[in-house]
Amino acid sequence: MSRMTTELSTTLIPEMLPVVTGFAEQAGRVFGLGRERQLKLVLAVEELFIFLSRQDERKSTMRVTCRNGGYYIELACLFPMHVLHASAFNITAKVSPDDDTSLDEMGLLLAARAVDRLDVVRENREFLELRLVVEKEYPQVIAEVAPLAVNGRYVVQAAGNEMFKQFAQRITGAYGKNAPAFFAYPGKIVDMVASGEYDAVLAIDKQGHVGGGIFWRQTGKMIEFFGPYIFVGQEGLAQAVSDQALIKLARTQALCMVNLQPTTEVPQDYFETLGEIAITVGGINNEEKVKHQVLYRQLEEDNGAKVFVHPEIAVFMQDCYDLLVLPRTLLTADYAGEAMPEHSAFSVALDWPRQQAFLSVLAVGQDAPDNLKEHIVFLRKEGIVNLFFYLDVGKEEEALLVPALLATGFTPRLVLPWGGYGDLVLFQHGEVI
Amino acid sequence: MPGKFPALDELVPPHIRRIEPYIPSKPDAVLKEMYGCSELYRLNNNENALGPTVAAFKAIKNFDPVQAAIYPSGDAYFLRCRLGERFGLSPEAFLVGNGANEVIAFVINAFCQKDDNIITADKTFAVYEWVAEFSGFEAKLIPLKDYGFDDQAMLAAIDEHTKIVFVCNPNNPTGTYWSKERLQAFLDNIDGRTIVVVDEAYAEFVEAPDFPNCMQLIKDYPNLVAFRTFSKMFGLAALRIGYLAGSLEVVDVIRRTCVVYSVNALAQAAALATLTDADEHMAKTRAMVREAREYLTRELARHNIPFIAGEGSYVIICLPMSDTLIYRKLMRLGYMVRTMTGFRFPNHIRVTLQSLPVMEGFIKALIEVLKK
Repeated sequence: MSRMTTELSTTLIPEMLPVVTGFAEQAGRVFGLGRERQLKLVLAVEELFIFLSRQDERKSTMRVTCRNGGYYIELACLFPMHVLHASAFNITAKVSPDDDTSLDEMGLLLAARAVDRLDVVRENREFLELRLVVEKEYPQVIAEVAPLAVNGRYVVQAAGNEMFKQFAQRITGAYGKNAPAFFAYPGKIVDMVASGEYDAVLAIDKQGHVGGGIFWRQTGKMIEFFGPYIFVGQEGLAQAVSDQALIKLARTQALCMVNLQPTTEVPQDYFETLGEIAITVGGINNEEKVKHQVLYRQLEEDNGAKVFVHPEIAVFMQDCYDLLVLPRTLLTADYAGEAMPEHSAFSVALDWPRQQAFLSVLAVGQDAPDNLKEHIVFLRKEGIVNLFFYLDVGKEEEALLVPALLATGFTPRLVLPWGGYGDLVLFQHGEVI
Repeated sequence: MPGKFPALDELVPPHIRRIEPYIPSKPDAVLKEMYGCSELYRLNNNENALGPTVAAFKAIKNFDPVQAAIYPSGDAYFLRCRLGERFGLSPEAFLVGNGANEVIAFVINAFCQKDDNIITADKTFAVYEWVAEFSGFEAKLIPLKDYGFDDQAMLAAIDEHTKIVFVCNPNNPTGTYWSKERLQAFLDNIDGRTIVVVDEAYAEFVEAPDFPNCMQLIKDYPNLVAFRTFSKMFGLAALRIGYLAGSLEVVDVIRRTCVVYSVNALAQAAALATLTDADEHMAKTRAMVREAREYLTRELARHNIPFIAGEGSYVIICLPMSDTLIYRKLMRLGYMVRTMTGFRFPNHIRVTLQSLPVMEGFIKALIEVLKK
């Protein structure tokens, strides 16, 4: 059932609502969502459909695709660009109970709250896609696992499902909150790998004990990797799993690897340091700030690029590129009163479990400073403690947002080469480290 | 009115969607500006620093511009005749392509159909694997053994869907090779079940006496296809010309998928001229490569830097750090090398063996960047 999709095409009129919600419910059920999570998906698509059908006067056609991603269900709504004007994407649209128009605009906000992730993707010049993701439920397993033989010989080899589960449990046992929360759900790890979106390299002994490994996720040209996690004192094991990961990734679409939360076992000099970020972990009462170096490695030769840089971060950018020995031609981009669309729009990738949000640009507009402020207020109110902004300096117009970002409390932390269309600058909101 | 955006989701086959387009290096002038270096020594593509042969040089210089308006020989007629004379084979036993990469595609397209596979090594020239995969066929990759092609594992991997086995001899990038005896044993074992392609792009650099001559073996093994190129030893990389040779029956099948007129007239003229003084050029180039290899390996050993050096015009250097970072640092100093992550050798670089002064400069630059 994994990787299967089902599709519905519908006119954007309120009368079609039961058809769409019925589709979402049935697809969710067939693809393995529990009852509670089916309802979340139904609620999200209901809010979204009502919202879109009220916006669209032309009665356009929307394609709804429900995809079984293995450990999640993704419901993607593809519709023509004209259905929404730019500002409507902002999930922070001001809401007043006395104002019917603003109530209409709550649709996206309610949909976002109901699901685990909401992404807005500009599919091409004519279409936009809203992707709602609801993850499946898995039992949390924080069980003791048998200690490993000190004199075991661990070698990198193909792993089965039980090995992945053991790997996850050992990570939870040995690294605790310093490892991503998904490792506490071993069954989910198996499905994440089976989905093809994640992969791993494990070192295993003859008895099937997992001595260590490295885990990663591929998104477009970029690999986000986790680890390496090492559970035994065998010399060279971190290097062996890192080497094998690099070999596995060598002829894929990936251009670079990044690790936002590296372990101390990362082999010396395999990766370059991009900078440092502070992640807030824990709940409201036991909040804790953990600093991480961000590590990076290119998988291909860098033949240079032009980047668009606002003067206010030019020194920062130049320092980053000098440190990374990256050939970049810095082109100044600054607003000089030229015509600009009225509305800005930002995409928000929300990660509720990690209380994390990554903002990025959908459209640059005059209202960007106010719009950004509203996003910050809204996201903070929603409990988001780790708030980031990815600015793509491969795109000329995005550089114009720098003053608004700085004015609203964002600080550039690091440059992630080839992280987007061009290089990405990662801004973090909040106090400077 | 602007046209509608194509429905790429539906138009692009899944096996093409999975493929990352190959992005070649930018031109030297652009790279020099990007990296801020005044000189750029190209040690990345195994080009011959001595350039084309004297005769080819003259042929290029004397090429009549009027000929640019006239289609070339569609199947490189005169060149095939000359190759036939040189190797004692029929002109029909040769197919000339726009670089050896093109003839790889000819062979795969000629023999493979849905559900078929090819077999090659995991750490070798990538194009066999790429062409197979973007043509929709499986590439079974057999791990190297002691940096060489593992004949026994390759034989064991053959199944009823295997159509072609690709052997790179000597292997790029490790420089290992199969002796004549080993290749013959392999061919005996295959016994005509599959086509065996031996890519001899670097064969002219090999001085070992037990290195096989596939042009002779073709007479005994009709399933053997040999690839050669004018890009490496003969310094015609910019003109893109290579060829394959095989038994008449096999080449006749491959010819059906061959793109005619793909080799331009200047390339054909230069290649034809090359064959008149090829041996002299080979001797000079071999001497340069030998001297460079001896110097480079001696210096690497002196600085305790591990390396893999075999046959061919290149040496692999093992680094304690990311090869892509070293690439950038060396570029700043004017030395362009090939990173080996793409060859599944992370933290390794491949360096073309060139004239001694360039090798000396390279060693100096390498030591400098490794110190930092």
